[in-house]
Amino acid sequence: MTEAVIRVEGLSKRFGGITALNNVTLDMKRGEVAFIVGPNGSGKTTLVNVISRYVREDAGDVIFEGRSLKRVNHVRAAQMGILRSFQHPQLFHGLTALENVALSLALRNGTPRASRIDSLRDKAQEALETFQMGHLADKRPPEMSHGERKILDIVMAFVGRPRLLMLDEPTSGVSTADKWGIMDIVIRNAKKEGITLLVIEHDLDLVFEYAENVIVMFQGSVVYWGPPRNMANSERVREVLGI
Amino acid sequence: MRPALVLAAVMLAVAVSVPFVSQTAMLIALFGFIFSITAIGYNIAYGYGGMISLGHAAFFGAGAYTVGLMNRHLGMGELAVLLPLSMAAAVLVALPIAPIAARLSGLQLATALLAYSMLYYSLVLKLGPITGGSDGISISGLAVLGYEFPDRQALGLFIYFASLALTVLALLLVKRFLGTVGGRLVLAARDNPLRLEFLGYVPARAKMAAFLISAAMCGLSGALYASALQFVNADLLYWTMSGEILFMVIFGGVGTLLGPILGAFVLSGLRFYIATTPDVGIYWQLALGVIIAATIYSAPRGLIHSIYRAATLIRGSKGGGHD
Repeated sequence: MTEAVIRVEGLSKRFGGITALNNVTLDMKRGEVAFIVGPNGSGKTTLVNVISRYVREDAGDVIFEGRSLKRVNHVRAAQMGILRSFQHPQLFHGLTALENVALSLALRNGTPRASRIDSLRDKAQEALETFQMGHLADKRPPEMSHGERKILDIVMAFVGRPRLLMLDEPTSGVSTADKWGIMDIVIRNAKKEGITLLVIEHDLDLVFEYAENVIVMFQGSVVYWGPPRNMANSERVREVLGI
Repeated sequence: MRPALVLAAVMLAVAVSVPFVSQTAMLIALFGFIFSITAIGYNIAYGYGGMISLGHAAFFGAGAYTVGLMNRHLGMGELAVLLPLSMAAAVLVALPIAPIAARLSGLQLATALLAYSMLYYSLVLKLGPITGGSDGISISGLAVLGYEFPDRQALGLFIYFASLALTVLALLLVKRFLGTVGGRLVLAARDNPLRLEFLGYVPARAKMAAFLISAAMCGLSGALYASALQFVNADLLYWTMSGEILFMVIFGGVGTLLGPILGAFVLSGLRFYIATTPDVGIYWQLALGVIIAATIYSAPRGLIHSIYRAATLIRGSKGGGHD
């Protein structure tokens, strides 16, 4: 049996009177591609925030490669290989796209690996080309569209050699024509590198196409966790997702 | 040959010939170069690291007082020892506050550093028997590699060329530093510290390094300043000194390579005018305030950007990055 890379056990989190996570339990095997779906406010981003250790759980535990993350903060989690992109792209606005990626390359596991940023240019350019962003290498984020910034955010997380990569709505703001291409590149490269991938996504067509497992969330609880083909059999899922 | 290189060569030639042409121009340029090192250093913390400070007078003063105190109490006048020692002293003064500076931002940071620097100002006034109190310390017997300067003019000439060389060196080192991963980390820590954390890096590390480098450069320039005047007093540690350093960088262009040098020269020119024109001394702070307000209004990105824009317009070509 393949070992679980990430396992969350009984995770609960409240913000004031609102239950963001309610006894969430699930796991992901190495190289698995899972999607989280659910209406706004269902706890998807909170789950990613807790796994990446940006937000601390009120109860429960996150186990990464057999180790509890109770005492691990988000910086250490990133050093351990838990990387993520953001709903609102988090970039370095004073640096070019190429330098943004080069810096991520330099910081694999959090320790600067090169002294000159120039020595990483070729690899950074290659990574941008992979995501069809090569022509934007010299542009700074403020000169790019929202969709382009989202993809740059993903490239930055990708080149950090994640063991678990979490993408928060990677195709929001990306044109319909481009989102399939982007998701295709993301999945193909994750598979090639053996990266475990957890994606928050609203577009159910993409979910049905690429997900090996789907986590459907509603009001902080997991109402479905399993392969996409069985989703529609659940009346609760149909009700939550309106399908 | 690129126009920028030609311009740099011409400016260097002018700078080298200034002491042999005009004593007045040399005095203005002397303090222009000394404050250029201060401003380049300050710009590393503020322009590149995003750490606004109203406390850099403490580091400038630490450098100046290292020369004064070592000279007064140990009779030391060897600049080859005093200048590196001044940098070390400034770093030592910056060290306790650096972890805090690296974690605060904006007004909180500016006021925390203001309070910190005023501690040193008070300390210097309180420890009169050691520091000379409000009378300050006169410095004498300065030498370089054993050669004692026979008069003020010879010393001034040496400090002039040393400051010129150190300004060029500082400029080249900062340019090189920005091309390193460390330099880019400083910019990234300014732009988006949270993102750096999610790449597994603690941004405070880069900010601390920038802050300490900045302090060291201010210490060096403080030592040159004290050596040039052969005098040091507590005014160098007062918060208005920090304000003047900030002014140089804002006036010239925050986060640019050449802007701080431009700002330093403008301030030196103004200082010289005030010092040599009767009855205008009382208007110094007022003049500075008006100039700052006018600069922020008319050239919010600093004078260097206005010059670049004008040059681009004159060339009739589309602009590109200069710094």
